[in-house]
Amino acid sequence: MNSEKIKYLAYKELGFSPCEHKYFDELLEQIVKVRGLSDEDNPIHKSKNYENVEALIGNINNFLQKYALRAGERIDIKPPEMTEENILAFEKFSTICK
Amino acid sequence: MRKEKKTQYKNYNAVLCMGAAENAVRSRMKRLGDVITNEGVSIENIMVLGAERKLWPLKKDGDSRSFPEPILYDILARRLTQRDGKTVLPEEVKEYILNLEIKENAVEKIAEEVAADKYFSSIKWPTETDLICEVIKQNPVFDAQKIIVVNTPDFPDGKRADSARTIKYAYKENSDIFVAGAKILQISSQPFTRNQKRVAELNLPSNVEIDVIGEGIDEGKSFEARKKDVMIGMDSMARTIYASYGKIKENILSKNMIGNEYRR
Repeated sequence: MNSEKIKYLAYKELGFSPCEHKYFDELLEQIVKVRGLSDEDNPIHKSKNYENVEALIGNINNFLQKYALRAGERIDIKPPEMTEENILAFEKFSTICK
Repeated sequence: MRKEKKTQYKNYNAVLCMGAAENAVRSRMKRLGDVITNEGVSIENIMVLGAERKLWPLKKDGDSRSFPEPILYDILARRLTQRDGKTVLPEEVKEYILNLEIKENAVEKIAEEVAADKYFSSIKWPTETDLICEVIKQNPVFDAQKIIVVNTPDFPDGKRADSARTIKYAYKENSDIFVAGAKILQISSQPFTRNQKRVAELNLPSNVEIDVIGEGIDEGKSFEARKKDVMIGMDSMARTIYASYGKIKENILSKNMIGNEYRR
């Protein structure tokens, strides 16, 4: 099974409808940006050789727990720095994903 | 996760009322009252899905969850009045607590320490469940409604029950309500409706229909307020996935997909 298929099934298990998939991709990209991370930190980056659906969901969960939770503000993680562009992207995600 | 969500049906077998902070509970119960009185929605059972978490008595800066809940002083004053046989006012209780020397730092520990003070001996410290029940009691709309209280215990390690644990516990105690085809309403607010619905879907039978309503996020806010909304929204998304994670793994296993479709 290729990476795209694994990602599709993982997003489906996470409760996203097909039309929401690309917005979740964008959300992960935005978190990478506002946290000052590199593209390779994104759990769905092409360099990530995720083995199966369960593993990918685990990676996404770990990433969000570390970088998206408010309670996850830790001294070893760069605080989020948001621009108008980032905020608009997040707002678009939260409008599309009901 | 931004726009208001309204009811899809006119009849529900039950509504699940949850919430950990007074403001949120008041606003959700007000919304539920409006749905019943103004929108003609009929609800068979009002289920209070509370938890044993003790209400925080003091404000602690920097933690938005820990604002003191004024209703705490009302409930305590009533319980002290019943214990002592003389009227105790909420303001007196508040003043007493504010004058206590608190050694603890963590919010949950502060509640434990204050509750253990000799002035409150033999008083059951108000919990999240008491908060929801009290707010319901204050609204006459709910007088004629059948109320079912579910008081979910903390996790064995002492952590407060989360939404998933609370819903699982409600189902275990009231499985006769969650029958095939039952329509269950949840009251929430944005950006949390998706999280609430997802957690309910994963912890209730799949043949139960879940509907969630919630107020939308106000538009036209300042940059800082929008930034805060984004942070709360992302937090909610992360929690949604975290809360679903165990169940998703179970689902994958139960579908027997490991070894075929879901494995390489």
